[in-house]
Parts: sequence; structure tokens; C-alpha cells
Amino acid sequence: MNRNLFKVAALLACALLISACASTPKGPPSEVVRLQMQLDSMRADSRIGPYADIELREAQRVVDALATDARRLRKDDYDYRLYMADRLVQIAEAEGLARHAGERTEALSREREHMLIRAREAEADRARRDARSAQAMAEAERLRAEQERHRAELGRSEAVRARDEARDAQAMAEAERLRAEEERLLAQRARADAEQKQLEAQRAREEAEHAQRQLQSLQAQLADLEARQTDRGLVVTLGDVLFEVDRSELKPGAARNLDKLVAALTDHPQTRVEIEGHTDSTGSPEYNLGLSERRANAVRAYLIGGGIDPARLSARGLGLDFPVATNATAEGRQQNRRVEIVIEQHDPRISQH
Amino acid sequence: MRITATVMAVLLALPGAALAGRQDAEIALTEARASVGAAQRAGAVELAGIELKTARDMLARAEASMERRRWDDVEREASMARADGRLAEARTRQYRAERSAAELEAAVETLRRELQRQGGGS
Repeated sequence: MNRNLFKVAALLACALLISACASTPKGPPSEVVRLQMQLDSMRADSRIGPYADIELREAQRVVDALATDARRLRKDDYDYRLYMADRLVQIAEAEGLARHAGERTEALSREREHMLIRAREAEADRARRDARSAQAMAEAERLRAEQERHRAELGRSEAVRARDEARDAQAMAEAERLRAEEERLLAQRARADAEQKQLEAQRAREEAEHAQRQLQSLQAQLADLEARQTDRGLVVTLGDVLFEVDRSELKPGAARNLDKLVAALTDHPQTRVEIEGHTDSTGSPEYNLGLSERRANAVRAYLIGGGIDPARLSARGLGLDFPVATNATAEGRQQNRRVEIVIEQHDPRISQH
Repeated sequence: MRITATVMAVLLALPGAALAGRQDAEIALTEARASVGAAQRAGAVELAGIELKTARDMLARAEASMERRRWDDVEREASMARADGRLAEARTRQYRAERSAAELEAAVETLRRELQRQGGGS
């Protein structure tokens, strides 16, 4: 029971307390609460809190004292102290913000200093780059001038070379001209030679033709004497018409044949005559040799008597050694008894060799 | 300060209690004038006009109370005017610092743009 009473009393006390709390607030006045809130937010503000520690402490002390005294103070004292506390809070704020701005100003001016240095460095860099590019341009200009100079030199040396070449070409042309001249002269000479050769050939041909004609006319004149053409020349064989058997004097009838010979030789003074006497095998060879020699000389003497130059005439006896037929028959022996007149066409050119 | 002032007031009050109130008031008034003057010299006219006007008004009220020889009022109002003066001076310093910080920030920003443009341009 006692316990129940206590319980009821406690509950009542609680109820009273709750109702008292709701109806009559025991906290500081709302103005002071507002100041406290301002202080709290300023302390949390990074622009103020770290910069106004002393001022905030002082303001806090004053606000705390006011919060403690608020209910006991007279109206005018409360107003005065609230005014003063408010000014301290505001001063703390102003000081904090001022210092913060000052610090920022310092930081900014340092930054500006850095930037100015960087700007100056950039300026210097640019100046260096400009200088370098100017240098590079100067270098390029120098190279260009150098190149120009080289080209000019090249042009000069080319001109010199062209002049030399022209000179060489001129010299070559001159040489060529001389060579052409020489060739022309050679050609002229060759032509002259050729002409001469042609003339010589013609002359030779004419001479050959002449000789041929001589031979033909000689042959024609000696046709009655049955002259025949051999390697040695025209050969006229005179048989027993000239001599009696075993005699070496010309028969009176021999003149008829020999005069024809004389006439032909007179008409052809370029001929040489070889007179060869032959016999048959009757009698000794020595005798026959002598006989044939005597007969050949008789004919020679007759020809000389006919007016033929003795230098053109030679005579020799060949005996029985060169028969033209058999000596076994009388007919054969008659053929072997003979005088052969060999007329050689005397070629002056051949005689020169 | 208040303690010092009180001690001085007590010391000055020794010859005659009647003089003590007036002297305290005069000291407070002098301090208030000095505070307001300091604020003015700091440049409050230009930068913290409202706060300065509040301080002057309060100083005028203290001087008016001085005319009426209400020493307690003078002391209290002068003290308030002195606080106002301190605040005006603090605000002046704050605004000046903020203004130069803002100017410097603008300058730095301009410089930064300049440098970036140069850096990008070259």
C-alpha cells in the first residue's frame, strides 16, 4: 500500500514535471539562444572558426554569462548585456572574416607572384624561341645564299666548260675538216689512180687487141705457108720445098715460100724468129746435126738478105732428135726433113721484165 | 577594461562620491569617442557606413545623456557606442580585406587565363 502510494506520487510528480516543462520554459531567452546558434555556426565556419578563436571565446563567455543571468536581470540590464554580447559575436565574425580574407589575399598575392614569374619565364622562353627561330631563319637565309653562290659558281664553271667544249668541238670540226680534206685528196688520188689504171688497162687492152690484130694479120699473111698456132708462137713448117736431099743450099723454088715469110716479117717488125733445122734418121746424128744447122743458117741468111734485122733472127740445128713422124717409111722420113720457123710475137712489155 | 575602469572609478570616487559618477561617465565617453574616431580613421565612412552610423547615433545618445547629467546612462550608452565603434572598425577591416582579396582573385584569374592562352598558343 505504501509502495502503491509512492508509485502514484512518483507518477504525479512526473506528470507535473512534464506539464511544467511544456508550459514554463526554463532555458535561456530566445535572443540568447539565437546568439548561441550564431556562435555555433561561426565556430563551424572554416572562414571564421580557425581565425577568431580568442574573440569567439570572449563572446562565448559573455553569452554564457548572459544565459546564466538572463532570468535574474532587470529588463534594461538584460537589454544592455544582450546588446554588448551581440556586438561581441559580430566583432568575432568580422575579425574572423577579415583575417581569413587577409590570409587569402596573401595566398593570392603569392600565387600572383608565381604566375608573374611563370609569365616572365614564358616570356623569356618565347624570346628564346623567337631568337632561335630568328637564328634558324638567318641560318636558312645563309644556306640559301650559299646555295645561290654555289649555283652561280656552277653556272660559271658550266659556261667555262661550254666554252671549252665549243673550243673542243671547233678543234674536232677542224680535224674533221682536215680529215675530210685528206680523204677528198685520197679519193681524188684514188680516182686518178683508178683513171690511170683504167687508162693503163685500156692501153693494155688496146695493146693486146693490137697484138691480137698483128697476130691475126700475120697468120693471114702466112696462111699459104700453113702457119699453125702453138705455145711458142706461129710455127711455119717448110718441108722438102727448100732443099735437095742431103744438101744445104736453097732450091731456086724455095724463094717463093721464103719471100712470103720476108714480107710478113717486114710487115710485123715486132716479131722475133727462131729457125730450127730438123732431119730424118738417115745418117749419123752428128752429121744430121751439122746438116740441120747449116740449113737453118741458110734460111736465116736468106731472110737477112730480104732486109730483116739479124737481131730478130736466131738459127740452130736440132738434128734427128725431134721427129714429127716415123722414120720407117719414106713418107714419114720426108715429113721429118724440115725447117720450122717459129715466129714469136715480140711484146715490148714482156721483154722489159 | 571594465575592471580597470571600475578600479579607477573607485579610486577617483574616494575624495567625493558625488564626483565618481560623472568621472566614470566622462572616461566612458572619452573611450567611446576614441573608438568611433578609430573606426572613422580606419575608413569606416567609406566601407562600413551603417555600422559607423549606429556607433555615432549611440555616441550622440551618450552625449545627450551627458548633457542631462545622467551619468549611469552615459556610462552605459558610451560603452555601447564604444562596442559599436569597435564593430565598425572590425567590419571596415573585414570589408577592405575581402575587397582586396576579390580584386586580387580577379587579377589572378585574368593572369591564369593569360598564361593558359599563352601556354596553349605557343
